Amino acid sequence: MIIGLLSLRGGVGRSVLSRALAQKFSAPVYELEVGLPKLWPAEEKEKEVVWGRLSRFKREKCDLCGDCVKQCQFGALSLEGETIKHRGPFCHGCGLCKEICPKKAIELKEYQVGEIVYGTTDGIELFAGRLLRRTPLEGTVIKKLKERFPLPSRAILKAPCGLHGEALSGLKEAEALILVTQPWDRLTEEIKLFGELTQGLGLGGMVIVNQVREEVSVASWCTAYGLFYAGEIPYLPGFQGDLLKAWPEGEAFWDRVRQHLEGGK
Amino acid sequence: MAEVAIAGLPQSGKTLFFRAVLELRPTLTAADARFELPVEEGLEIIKKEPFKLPVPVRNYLVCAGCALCQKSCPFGAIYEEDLWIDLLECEGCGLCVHLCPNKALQLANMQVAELIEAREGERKFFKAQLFPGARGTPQLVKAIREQARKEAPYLLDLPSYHGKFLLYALDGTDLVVLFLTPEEQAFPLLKRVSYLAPRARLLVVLSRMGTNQTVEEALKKEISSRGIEVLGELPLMSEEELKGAFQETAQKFLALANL
Repeated sequence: MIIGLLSLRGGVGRSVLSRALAQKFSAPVYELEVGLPKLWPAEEKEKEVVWGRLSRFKREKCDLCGDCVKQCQFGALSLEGETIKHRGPFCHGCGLCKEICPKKAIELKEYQVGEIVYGTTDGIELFAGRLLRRTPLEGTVIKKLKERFPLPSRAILKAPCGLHGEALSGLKEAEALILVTQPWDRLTEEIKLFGELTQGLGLGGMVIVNQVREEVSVASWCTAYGLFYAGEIPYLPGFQGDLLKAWPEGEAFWDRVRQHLEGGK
Repeated sequence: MAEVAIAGLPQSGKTLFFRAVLELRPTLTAADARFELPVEEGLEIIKKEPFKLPVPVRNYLVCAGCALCQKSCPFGAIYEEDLWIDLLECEGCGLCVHLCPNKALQLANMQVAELIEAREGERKFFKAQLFPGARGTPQLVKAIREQARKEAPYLLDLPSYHGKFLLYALDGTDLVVLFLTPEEQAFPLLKRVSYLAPRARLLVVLSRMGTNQTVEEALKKEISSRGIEVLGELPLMSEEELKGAFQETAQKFLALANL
């Protein structure tokens, strides 16, 4: 089963959970937070550069007609006084400007935009990607990662932080989604939103509440929004890294998670 | 300092700092770049405006099925099978519209969010509410900044999402308060923020200190070698303690930023 791991806020335990799930399910983790990856293999086995097309503007050929400026949806080209300003970091490399430029003043060039890596950390297989240049080509890096290292039948896809389309776009292959969260004053609203998302996508959703100090009563909220409440992971003082070791009492929790994910298929 | 952004690693207390600064300056304009949840209670909504993104729409009556659009889509957003356009992949560039020999594609505007202008006491507060699961966070942060700029100076609170969103969130800002914790990710983030906002004054707050000495030493060295100012350094503490500690940091910040 391919599991997508999401969280509305950062720092609630997506990385820790993805590692624990990887161990429990003998599945690799795909780190899709390519803007600032948290998971990166300690031992790199394969590494590859990701190339992406970006526009290059040749000032000497430009006659300042301004057609490209009007057409660019990304604000990568602007007319400033007597010159066209090419704002490289905003270019998505679509090439529309190249198509419409009557003077052929724009070309597309391949640039190194990111890197992808495969390796292991504490026996866990990790596939991760990283954006290298100041470009918006997150999607290119994620696509390349999945193309170069095709998803096996079991995998954990770790999305970037947020419950927006940008975070969801890397989870297309997911067969179930897990929301990781922590107790906070808007927990019920968060669960409601996650419920709407999973329903919209037609996927099963599971909620895990991490770092719980006092019991949270959200099981009925989860049920109301068609979600499975896996339960809570207690606050573990001084905890770092390996959740399975730090929380040996968690067996029943993990059994519940496993049964739900495997029983559903 | 007209445009000020607060960015950083998660669990660093950046939103508590944002609130601490706002408490000291009841008229300072604020903007929040978290778009998923509804507007908090306590904010009085003045205006809501639809926010739209360009998306290609296909007229199947005219489409000859030549699949030129599918083959030339730079983002692989068009499915081979039925030329269905996946809106989670489409960037709305319009190349397919331009290339289509039959003019079967057109860019339409699809609403993905609501831009919200609110009031909190005397303060203007700019927010947005994204439709569940919709794309558009980079464009939205750009849009709320454009609105907040009219009421500048403003303070923008950013989530810990560091994809291309960050590019749109920091472009052209005058000052960035960057919250770092002793984690490996602090190094690439510091580098990326200096790169994305080259003209901005950068102030760093080190939070959760005293938890990883090796990283902390290296991080401080990196910060000073880049000539970046440290606004505050705080040990790992509870939310309540952090609120107290930010009183002082916020005052220092307001004096430095001349707000």
